[in-house]
Amino acid sequence: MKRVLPYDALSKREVPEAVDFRILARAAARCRERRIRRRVSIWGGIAAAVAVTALGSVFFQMGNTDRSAERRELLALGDFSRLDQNSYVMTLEVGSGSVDY
Amino acid sequence: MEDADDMVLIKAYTAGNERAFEVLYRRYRKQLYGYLYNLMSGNASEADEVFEETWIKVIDKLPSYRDQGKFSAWLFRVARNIFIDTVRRNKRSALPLETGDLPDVPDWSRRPERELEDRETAAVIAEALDQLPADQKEVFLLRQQELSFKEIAEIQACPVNTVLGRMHYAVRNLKKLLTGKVN
Repeated sequence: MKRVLPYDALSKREVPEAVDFRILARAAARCRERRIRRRVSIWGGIAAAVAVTALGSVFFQMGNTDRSAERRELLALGDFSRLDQNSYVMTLEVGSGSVDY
Repeated sequence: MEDADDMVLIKAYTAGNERAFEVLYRRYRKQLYGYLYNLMSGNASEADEVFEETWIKVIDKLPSYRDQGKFSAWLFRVARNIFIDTVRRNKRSALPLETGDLPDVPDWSRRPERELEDRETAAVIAEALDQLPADQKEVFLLRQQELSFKEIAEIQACPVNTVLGRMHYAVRNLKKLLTGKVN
């Protein structure tokens, strides 16, 4: 098909200044909003990361404390010397007939 | 920045560069306004309304805009949809597409282009354009914006052959109308 040449007077038209102004103002406002939102989300992300790290370290400490206490208890349970002695005494007593059942 | 590609400007704007949008806007504003002004038969207040609404939508949609063809094609598609909504809202009926055979007309296109390049002639063409069916007028106006037939087909949501047919009839009808005026 034959190319229809564009006529500037038909294809282009000067936009009223007030319309230009309103559109550019809106674009600038949206751009600022996006910048603020991005900053908020970046700072929010940093704050969340700090909070998670802090909470993590607190729980880690708590976990460590609990675990050490648990370990002490377990070690105490592992001390069979006294238990064995009691058991030996009991066996001896049973064997010698000094205990009535 | 003035010479930057449309997509570069869009990315810069969505990254927070206000100036990038201004460059993009100044690149297309006259074309889009001219298209809408002619589409609305010179109704400046409606053209202003649709033009502003189009750019507001573009501003909101730019962050999710993906590079799928020319930005101008997308821009004109957004404008066209808003134009249709405005027409519906204002209950103005669009003219039906004429597909009937038209009588042969003299080969007006052989006239020197210079005769057409003055403002008066453009005004005469604009007046003749208003007498065309809406679809033909739109194809002619979009072609004036140097959009390809494929892009116009996407904008009008119809096959390329339909667009070619509309353009053919638009030019034929314009020739007829303008020959009548010249004579």
